[in-house]
Amino acid sequence: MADRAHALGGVIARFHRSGVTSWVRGPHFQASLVDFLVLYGLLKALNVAIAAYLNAPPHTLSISLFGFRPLPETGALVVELLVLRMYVRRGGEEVLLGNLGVSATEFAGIFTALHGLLGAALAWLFA
Amino acid sequence: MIGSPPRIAADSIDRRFGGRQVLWAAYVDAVAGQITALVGVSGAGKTTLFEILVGRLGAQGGSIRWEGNRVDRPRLARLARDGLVYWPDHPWLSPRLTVGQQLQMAACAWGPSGLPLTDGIDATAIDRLPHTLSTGERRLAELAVCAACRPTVLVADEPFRGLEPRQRETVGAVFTALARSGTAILIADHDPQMVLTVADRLYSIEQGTTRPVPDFRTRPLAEWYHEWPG
Repeated sequence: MADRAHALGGVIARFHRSGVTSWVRGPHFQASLVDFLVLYGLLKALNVAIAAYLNAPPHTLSISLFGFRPLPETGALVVELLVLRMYVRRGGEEVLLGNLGVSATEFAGIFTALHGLLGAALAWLFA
Repeated sequence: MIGSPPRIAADSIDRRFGGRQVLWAAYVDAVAGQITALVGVSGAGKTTLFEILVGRLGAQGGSIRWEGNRVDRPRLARLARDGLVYWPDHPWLSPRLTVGQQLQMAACAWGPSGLPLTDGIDATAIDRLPHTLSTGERRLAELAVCAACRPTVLVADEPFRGLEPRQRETVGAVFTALARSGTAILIADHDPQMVLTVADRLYSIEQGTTRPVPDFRTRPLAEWYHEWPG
């Protein structure tokens, strides 16, 4: 048990040193979070529009809007990450993030986790 | 500090772009407490070598060493956690945040810097977005963010480019202060006067191959101006 706690402490310490924790508390993450939430909402709206166009029944609409289905969620996540990455590249912010110790993998990881949490929360709320 | 082992080194680096070989067994390093300069004409491979050194570009051959240990998959974020900071020659501050916010982010990430963060920056620049600044102001803001990251290694690509004489002196003074505090500084630039003023060590790069220039201090400046690459 003590070994596990020690290992967990090591992981947390490494994560803290990575610069991700201070980035998440900073204004750059907040700006990216706004972009992410707008994208998330747009993709959900697109999902509804496609379902309506295909004359899908209402419960299907409900499921596609608030349900947590792996395939559409993964597709939406990929689009979100690509667009966020495009924003970062267009702004030339890769070097800033790198200098802050935030890698592209960590950047994507944070938003992947957020997408999963948001999707799971909505599925639970509207189940 | 003379004879100290390099804090970071790019060793025997080969790099091709398509069929064109840009770097041939190139070597460059940075030593704690010293300013090392790399000089060469445009297209000689300076930026490519720096991008490989900081892990933003891969190499077809050679290795990156940190404190003598080979870094298997160098990445800027990973090297930054060990204290490396990269100052590229293109704009890299976020266009969405003010200079002050970005200084604060750097200070929060790595702890308070020993240097005054706003040294050399116009006070009005702090609350402005980077793209609204002049080239010189932006470059000084970038340097302030670099200094706020508390670098143990600072890699700066063309740090004196586009600056007025007074701003060049500010950059030189910050480099000297950082080097005195133990930072290993590596720069590539075309400005012979500034490079020869601040550099403790010199490498030249010609057609992708580097060589140390050990006797550069003993040669008269006028002679250097005549032979200066680029």
